[in-house]
Amino acid sequence: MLFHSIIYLIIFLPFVFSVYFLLRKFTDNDGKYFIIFSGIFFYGWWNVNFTPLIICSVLFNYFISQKIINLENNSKKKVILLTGIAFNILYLGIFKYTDFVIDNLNYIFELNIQNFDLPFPLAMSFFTFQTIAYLVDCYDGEVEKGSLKDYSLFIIFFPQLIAGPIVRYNNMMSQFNTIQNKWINSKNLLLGLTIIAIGLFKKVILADNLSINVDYGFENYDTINFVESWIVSFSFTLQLYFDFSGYIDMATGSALLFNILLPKNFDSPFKATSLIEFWKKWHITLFNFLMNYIYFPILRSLQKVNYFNAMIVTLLVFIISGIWHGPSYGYILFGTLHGLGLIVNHTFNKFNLFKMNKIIGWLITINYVNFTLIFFRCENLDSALSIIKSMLDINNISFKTNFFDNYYIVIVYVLSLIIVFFFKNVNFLIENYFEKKEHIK
Amino acid sequence: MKLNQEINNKKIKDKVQKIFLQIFKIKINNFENLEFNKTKEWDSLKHIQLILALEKELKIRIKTSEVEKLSSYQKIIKHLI
Repeated sequence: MLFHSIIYLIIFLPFVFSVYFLLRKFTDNDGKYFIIFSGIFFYGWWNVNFTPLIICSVLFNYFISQKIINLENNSKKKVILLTGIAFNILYLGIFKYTDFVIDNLNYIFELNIQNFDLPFPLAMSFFTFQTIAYLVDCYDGEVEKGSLKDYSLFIIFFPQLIAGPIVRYNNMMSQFNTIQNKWINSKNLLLGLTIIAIGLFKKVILADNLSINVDYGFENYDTINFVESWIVSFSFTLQLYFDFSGYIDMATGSALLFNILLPKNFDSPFKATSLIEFWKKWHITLFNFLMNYIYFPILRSLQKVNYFNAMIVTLLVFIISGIWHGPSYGYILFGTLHGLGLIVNHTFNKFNLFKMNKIIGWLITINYVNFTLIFFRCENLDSALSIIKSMLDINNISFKTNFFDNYYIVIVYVLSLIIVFFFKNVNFLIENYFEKKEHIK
Repeated sequence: MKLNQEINNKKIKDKVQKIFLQIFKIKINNFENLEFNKTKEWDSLKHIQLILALEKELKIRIKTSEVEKLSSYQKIIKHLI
């Protein structure tokens, strides 16, 4: 079920909201089981055959987590933790990367192994990372012994189930267990609905209309001219942002209806004046996961932490991030280029070469992000290179294009640019509201 | 008892400040303002070096989930005292 679908907005969300608060108001039931079953229904709406997979993952990881919490012997704990992490990576790997590995083996060794054509279960990449973070937190003693109900709710809470943000157990459960959150909060409701509306606008009005030129351009990559290739690539950059951040807004808004505040995932990334800053503003919860559960642990495990090691680990982490995005060389290249870009950025800062003008820094950052996203979007490397070639073909500048053939699409572009470069984002609304609330307390 | 505690806290603060000076290699006027990602010199590399130095010098173990939480001088002192 998609957040911008009629079934979600008109039927599912109002129904779950009403029943949840009715249950809490008129019975002793805490509504958690109801939210879990709603989440399973929400997940199964897309393909009911995949629901056993998420349920198996929840049951297995709950069992592992309780083993970790109950054990006192540290080395045994570590073995169970590593087994749990390995299982989760393998589980994701089987569904997401089997055919990719087979294709590569066939190509390299000239084999003829048949593909398995395994369908990829929705949300698996997200709940795998969320689960790994949870298991590590259990190992660290951060998470206390809990019920299967709470753990299931943490994974299957539908607003963040499909595409994040990646949430942390303690943060979610403390909110679910706060007694004040038991009743409908009219201000949270109003703010939640406003944020859903903003997300819907970003997705339906902006992203979906920007996608028209994007789809055309990436299909006809070998015929588009210089100006069109720039429009297509920037359109995709904007489309991806509005699509994903719109989705996150709808997730945040939906969760707020249940008095749950999800962590922020985007913070006006296209205002960043360096790549380092960009990654503090783009897909923040993924970046935090990569930092806390991959980058820091790898660096800590090395005998010596120096600049060189840190840069190698940075590159490795971003290659992992690329692989995590999907089984294609485009994603891997996207991750690798961002890793390399960050190394250049860190090296520039370390040696204090010269003071970078903010506008120049911003221009370099947004263009670098835009170029790398071409690899993210393209189905193969040839088409990506063809578009980049057109973008650099200054001998063949032509301003002829049918991309802006109606006023509506022009308005979408103008609005998109004004919003990403000049508007405040939804975090401003949320932070402003919660700050006031704290103040009133 | 209270006096002992205060002396102990002062010792920890001094040690932490010494570690900060070793890691950042800059003149620090006000330790209280230092914050990960806000203080220019305090980037992810310095952060992990700082965590490892704290573990080594103070003979403590900092958990994975605590690494990100110790994101300012004040939070580190609060965690240790």
